[in-house]
Amino acid sequence: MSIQQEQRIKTSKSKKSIQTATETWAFIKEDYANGHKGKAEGRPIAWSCAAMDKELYHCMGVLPFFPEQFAALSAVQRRGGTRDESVEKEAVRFARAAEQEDYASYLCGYQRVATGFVIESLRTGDWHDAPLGGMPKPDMIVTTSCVCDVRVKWFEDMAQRLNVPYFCMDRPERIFKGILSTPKEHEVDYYASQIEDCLTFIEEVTGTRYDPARLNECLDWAYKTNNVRQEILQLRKAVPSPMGCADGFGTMYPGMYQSGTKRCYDFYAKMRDELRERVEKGIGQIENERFRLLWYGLPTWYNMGIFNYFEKFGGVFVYEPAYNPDPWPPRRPEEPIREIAHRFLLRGTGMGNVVDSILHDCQEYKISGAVLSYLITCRPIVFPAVEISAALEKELGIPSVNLEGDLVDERLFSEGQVYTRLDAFAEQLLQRGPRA
Amino acid sequence: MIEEFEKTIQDRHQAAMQWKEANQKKVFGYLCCLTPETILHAADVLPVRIFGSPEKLQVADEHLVPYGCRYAASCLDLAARGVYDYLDGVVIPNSCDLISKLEYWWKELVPRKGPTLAGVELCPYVLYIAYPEKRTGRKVLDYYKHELREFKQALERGLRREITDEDLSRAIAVYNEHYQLMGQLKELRKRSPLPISGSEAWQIEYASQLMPKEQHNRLLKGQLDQLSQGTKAASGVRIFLSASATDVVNARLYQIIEKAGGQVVSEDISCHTSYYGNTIQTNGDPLTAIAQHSLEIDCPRSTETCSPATYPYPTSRWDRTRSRLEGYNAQGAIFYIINYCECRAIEYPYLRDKIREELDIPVLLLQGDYSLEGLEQVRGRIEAFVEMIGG
Ligand code: SF4
Ligand code: SF4
Repeated sequence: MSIQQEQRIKTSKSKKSIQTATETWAFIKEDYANGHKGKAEGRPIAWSCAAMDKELYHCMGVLPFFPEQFAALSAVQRRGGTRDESVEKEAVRFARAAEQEDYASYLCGYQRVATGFVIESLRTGDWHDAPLGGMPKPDMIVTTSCVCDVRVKWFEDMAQRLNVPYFCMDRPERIFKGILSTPKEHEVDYYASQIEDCLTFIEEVTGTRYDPARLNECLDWAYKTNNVRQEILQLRKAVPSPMGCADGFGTMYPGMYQSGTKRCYDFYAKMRDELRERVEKGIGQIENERFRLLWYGLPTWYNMGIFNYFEKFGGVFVYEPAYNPDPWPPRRPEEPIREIAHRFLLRGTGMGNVVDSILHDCQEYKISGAVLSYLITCRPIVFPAVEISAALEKELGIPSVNLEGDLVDERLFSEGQVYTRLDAFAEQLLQRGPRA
Repeated sequence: MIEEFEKTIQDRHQAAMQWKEANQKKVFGYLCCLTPETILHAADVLPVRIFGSPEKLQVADEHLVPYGCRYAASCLDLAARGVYDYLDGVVIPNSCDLISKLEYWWKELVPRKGPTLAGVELCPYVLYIAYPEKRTGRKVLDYYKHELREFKQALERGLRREITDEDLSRAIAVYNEHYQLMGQLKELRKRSPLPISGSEAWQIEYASQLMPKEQHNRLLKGQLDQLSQGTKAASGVRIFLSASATDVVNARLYQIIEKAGGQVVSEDISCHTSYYGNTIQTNGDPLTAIAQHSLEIDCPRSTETCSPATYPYPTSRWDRTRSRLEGYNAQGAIFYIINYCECRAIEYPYLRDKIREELDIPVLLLQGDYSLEGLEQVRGRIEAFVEMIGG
């Protein structure tokens, strides 16, 4: 595969339905500002990944940064914060730097962008020439084995480049029939040992002692937040849909990256209240909702306007399974580490688990069509795409369409082709009429 | 080369079917070196490695997206077309992202119903092993031992026989002999002049994954005796080859390199060489020893437990790469990475820099698509590289 001809696509922002969604940006900016201030004051910085148990950082006083999130940020920002469209996006600049070092262009855009940032910063010595002043230089790099191999190898590679201590939380890959199942004892034992070892690792890097009471405090906030997020998911099932996928992705940051804090809880509590009001008043994303869509996979961060594309046909994106949490079992404050291990191992990660889960979501959210984000650079997302498409049609009579690209590297996105395909898909859905 | 090796390589399916017929025993296929073959051997099963072929995909393409490694797709395609129908079971470890997903597709495209009890399959046709991502650490051995115990129990149910510690120990003895013999072959390849060509060494290695180990050991012993007498010599620029899944398709590389005036003297090819030299411990619980040995495999997709003060980040991939270069007097390193083989693709720039900086050896990167045509396209670059070194 080769990167398509240099193209500067005209990408657009999404239109927000809910007020709370406009507050995420302030949340992110505050975290970067705190990070730079914390770095200057000598507070420990970790680079970590989305699938990590963030409460561990908050209980240990570590400021976490997330290369995946940084890559998404780079997908919308141009150098120096300019809006001049002749200046390429930062994601493209960093991805290119990685490719020049022989990182293959089929590798995940998150990996190429973050690695390119490291390469560029090491080359120039300037760590701030990046969106929001860049991620502060890390004191440790912590990843997990779940979902993909890329995150393991990529974080290992960054640790080697930066000469920084590295830890990988190994999470057993559980495959079974269905979506959730109780993990076996030896699986919980192993993952719990990984959490303990990770805490020891952080203790050694930071000199801070692990305090179970502090972890319990963070977990209390995380659980309260998760409960509110479950309420939000219930509200999102309403017809007409009160909030769409652009807002879903646009508001995932606090829950994904700052779980275990009061401010994260406050964010979602406010969002829940707003949604509740919309549902009570019957306010939808658009006036006349004619068909409801599910977005499978991760978004094209450089073009969030795509989530409003179907509105002219009366179509709305209702639900996106990525980044949304499962309900958690009750708290077990007497053994918080096993509690984390247990809840994280509930969900199966096999292909069958993914397919079953999407079928379930489509029924819950009264979906009539699915857009499959066909991320040609992300194996875990793209591999199940064909099976999902076939299962949706066979089991539920739901059609789907593929949307090819990368998450952050807009050079792999062919705007014309995509919109032609989406138009045809909208016609197809309108002809089929609403799902029974 | 020994005729029996060649015969097996030429028609591996026929060879396995003949063995099955003659011995009235089961044959299991497995993907990837991480499979604990010894447990299968202990159960009187012949483990054969599943490989792909140069043929165009016929069935798998309807299920797999084009953005994944074609080697794994080819393995699945052959199975879906019935080529692997002689297998009585298939073992799929959680190795790379695509291999672990094959567990699903194999069940879909090669459906087999085994005996059930209360709706639960006693021994699935496709056996998945949740191999850990980390090779080292406090509890990893306990965890993996547990996984292997479950694997062994499933086999016992399916085969309706017990696999005793004695059975395991017997299998370990056979495999240890195999590792030692392959270790001797490796030592011989350090010599100059080189007593065996790269492609012949590859044939020995490839055949070892397809034929009973006892037979392979016997043949290899004879071969080693001949080689150590030093009557033969293969000449050429000494090359280290690092390549994704090197089966009959990618092995064309050996011929291209030799035609260009080079000889592969050592390799890292996701094809068994990973663990030669390391024997399985024989003093203690055999299942623990098998698990421990399996965790020592130097797979590009695995990682390690580190310690901030003494071992901040993993270095084992580089350490092993270095050991595959040093002592072999390698003059050049060729990396052949199949498209979408992500673990190799991510570690490449680091390994390249280390090889250049610490060993001052030139490195060539080639990308391919697991096709003979793709290999032809890189022929010119290989020729230029070998010529540049050979002067
Ligand atoms: S390959 Fe996919 S799952 Fe893995 S880091 Fe990239 S986007 Fe995330
Ligand atoms: S060649 Fe690479 S991508 Fe393909 S199956 Fe092997 S490890 Fe996986």
